[in-house]
Amino acid sequence: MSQSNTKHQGCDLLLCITVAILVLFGLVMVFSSSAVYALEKHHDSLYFLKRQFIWLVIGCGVLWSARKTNYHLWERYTYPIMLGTFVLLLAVMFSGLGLEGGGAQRWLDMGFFAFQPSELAKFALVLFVAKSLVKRADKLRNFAYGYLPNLIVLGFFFVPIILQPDLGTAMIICAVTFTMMFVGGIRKKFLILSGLALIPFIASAIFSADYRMRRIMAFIDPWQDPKDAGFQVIQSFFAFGRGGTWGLGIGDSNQKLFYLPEAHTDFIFSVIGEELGFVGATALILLFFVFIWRGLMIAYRSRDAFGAHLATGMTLLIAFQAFINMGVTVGLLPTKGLTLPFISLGGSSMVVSMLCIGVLLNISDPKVRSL
Amino acid sequence: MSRKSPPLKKDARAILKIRLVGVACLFILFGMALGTRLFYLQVINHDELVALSKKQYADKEEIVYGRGVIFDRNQNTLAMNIEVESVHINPSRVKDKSYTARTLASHLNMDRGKVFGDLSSKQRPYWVKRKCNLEEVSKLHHLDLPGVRFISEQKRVYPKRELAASVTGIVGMDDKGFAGSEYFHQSILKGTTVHRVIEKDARGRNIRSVSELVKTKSKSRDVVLTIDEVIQFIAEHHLKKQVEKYEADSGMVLVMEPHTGEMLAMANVPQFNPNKYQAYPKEKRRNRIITHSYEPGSIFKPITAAAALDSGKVKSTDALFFCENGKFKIKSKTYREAANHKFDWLSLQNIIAKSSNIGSIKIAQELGEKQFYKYIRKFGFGKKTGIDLPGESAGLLTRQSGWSGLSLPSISFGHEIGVTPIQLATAWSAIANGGNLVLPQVTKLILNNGQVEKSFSPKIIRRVISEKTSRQMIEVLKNAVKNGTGTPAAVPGFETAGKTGTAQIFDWNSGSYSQNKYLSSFIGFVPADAPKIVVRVMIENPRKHHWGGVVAGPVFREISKEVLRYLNEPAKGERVFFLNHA
Repeated sequence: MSQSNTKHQGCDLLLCITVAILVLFGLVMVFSSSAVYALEKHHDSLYFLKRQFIWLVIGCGVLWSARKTNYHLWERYTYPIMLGTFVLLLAVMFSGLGLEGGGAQRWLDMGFFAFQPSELAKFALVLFVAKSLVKRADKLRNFAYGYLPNLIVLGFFFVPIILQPDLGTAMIICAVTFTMMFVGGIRKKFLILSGLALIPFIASAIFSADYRMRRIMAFIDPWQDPKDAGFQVIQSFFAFGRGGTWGLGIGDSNQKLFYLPEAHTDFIFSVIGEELGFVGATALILLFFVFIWRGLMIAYRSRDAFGAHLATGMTLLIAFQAFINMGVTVGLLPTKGLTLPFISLGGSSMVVSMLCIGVLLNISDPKVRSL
Repeated sequence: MSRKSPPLKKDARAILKIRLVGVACLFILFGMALGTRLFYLQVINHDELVALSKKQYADKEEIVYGRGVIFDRNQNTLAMNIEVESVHINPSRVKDKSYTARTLASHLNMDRGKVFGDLSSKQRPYWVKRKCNLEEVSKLHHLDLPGVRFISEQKRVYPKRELAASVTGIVGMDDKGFAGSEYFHQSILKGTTVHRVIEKDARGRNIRSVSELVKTKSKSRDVVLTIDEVIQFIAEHHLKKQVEKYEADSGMVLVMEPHTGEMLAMANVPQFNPNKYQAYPKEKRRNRIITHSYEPGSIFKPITAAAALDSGKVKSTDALFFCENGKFKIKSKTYREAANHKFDWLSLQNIIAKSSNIGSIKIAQELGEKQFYKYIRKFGFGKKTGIDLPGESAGLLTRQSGWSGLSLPSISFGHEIGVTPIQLATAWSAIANGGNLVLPQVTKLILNNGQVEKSFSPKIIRRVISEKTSRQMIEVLKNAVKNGTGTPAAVPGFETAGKTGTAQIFDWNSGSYSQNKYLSSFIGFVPADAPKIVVRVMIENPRKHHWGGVVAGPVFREISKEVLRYLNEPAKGERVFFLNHA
């Protein structure tokens, strides 16, 4: 701790630079992958770029505010934030404000823009788990007092999200919660056993929804059904394959034109692979590694347990989402509706990711005192 | 409210470190899996995936839009584009083949059996019918047949129908010109080609209409012809009337500006409608003014005369020649006059006026083979004129080294030589314009987005005869109309220069001249002393009557009369009022 006081006068500069590179690169790729589609749909090739830019500006504002907000305040207001998020999640389902898109009801109509409360839910859940791990630090080995409360709260968020249905986000909150609990010191036996207990639920979720079943089948063998379920993955493979080692050059993707669905959101990594090749795609993975490294370092160097758990959670949120998204595009994981943080088009994702960075930067600032 | 969170103790931090390293290891494993997978897809499997992806691009169809417009010299539209729709089908997506085939066939006026056969046998997506009019398709839209798509395209239309069709030309389904200016200027007129994915879009994204594409990135280049649609109409009208009146096989008229070489009209009868060109046999669509050569007959005689005068071998138009009283034997062949005329002594001027064959032979004999051949070449015969239209024929002219003793006498009155109407008109233009052979042209301008990109200025190829010879010949040809065979062609109120021709059609099958098939010709220019137009009229195989003066002459007269009026050329004794059009 004394070390960090002398060496680091401000927040984590390397993290700032990494994120700046990621978002600027994201703008370029959003434009490259959406220009033709935007021209066709909105008669303005800059349509999505402009929107993404506005979201980036808002995201920077959020980042700045979070950077300036003492992270201990999050601990204080965890419960109100959780409650608010939960209400928003229910609003998507039950009020008339919910918007449908791509066969799921995930968005909340906020008048001039649509907001995805499940993005905020991820953040709120991390707050809760971090706070819970600190509060119950001495009962962590106890199943009922240390472990079960986290599991119940996770369930409260999990159910409305999976009913939207947004399997991707549901999986992410599970992964983040369990990893945080692992880092926090919950008994590994609990984690493994509950992991095994989850299997029947996941299986039933898959078998109950026809489209999920088809996605899983398409994941196992996309060439079985190249026209429908396997279509996205195969088009993504084509994009990566065409890119080769060095790529076709920015703007020269052919797959994004008509073949690759959601080229500017879920499958933007495929466009990166096609335009920048193996080298570019690997470079992006390395950038995310730098991010993970800095995030975990901030967690390690944090002066108190809440900071450590919060930083871990924020890092995991972005890292899991990024790696799962990339895993889907290369066919390592079945398809989900997940965006690539900082890169993909999407306002809610951008704002919440920037919020996470702001919190991380605040934790990394040695001048921040506990309240 | 919340407890102050305690600072981390040293041992707690050590445990945290181990666990964070564990998390990092998880992501490193994940990252390695990603990297391996990427390497496999992008480096190892690169070629295979590229090949596979190319295969699916083959499902794209090529669509051309924004082909340039063809205008006449006053920028009246001769060829343009309209929006149509094409019906495309993916057999693998069709649910009920028999119902789909039945519905398509009835709406698109196609044969049901054929549509069903195609649908059953084909695997890959294909065009059912291209470029249908919008009414045909609009009902199909509402039926929402699975597997059936509608693609917006552009279709070439010729709003003036038959008018100037053989000059404007036609385009195929793929919008590539394959006749006339459409073909000649393909590289200029060609529109923008887009590769449009027709099937790939699994979600049925709407297809952009072509007109939108045209608006977004139109860079059309248009062609302005020298043809004047009014003159073209006048020419086609009178030609058609005469061809019908004499039940002739065909006819053609060419109106040319003698100084600039600009073609004002090129009329072929029978006509064809380029909007449904498939209904006409290929021969009917040819512009025979440039593609066919004929034995010119008597209308070649002035060329012989002009050559003799220009060479100085014959001093004046009054020089006398003995015409052998209608029978002239050279080697084994006896030459006679038409209609068994018998002439004794005729001046050069009268040889042309009376159209004496033997007189022409005598004139050519004065010239000698070498000089005569040289002049024939100088007038441009035996070689393409270089007009900017496709398919031009060079005609037939035996090299002088290959001439038999009978070549010179035969060619002197227009036999044993094949000449295209355009060659003859160009040669006559040289007589009319003071002696220069000009390049005949049908393209005036190329426009790029409405601005002139290129203009085709008149080109003089060479001087053929002197101005003096030109003036002498004009007098000779004026006389031929006034006092000779060409009287029916005289244009009222104007000095007219011209020459009739009546040739027996050479039958290539029997190798001899047909006894009852004639080519009735007239060529001339008005006003004779300051020519505005050279008009060539040709009527093939007229029934009832075959004399050039009678059949072709009046066509020349009527066309010239109307064209001169249209060009505001004052007739003799006419009071001229200039109207200020502003």
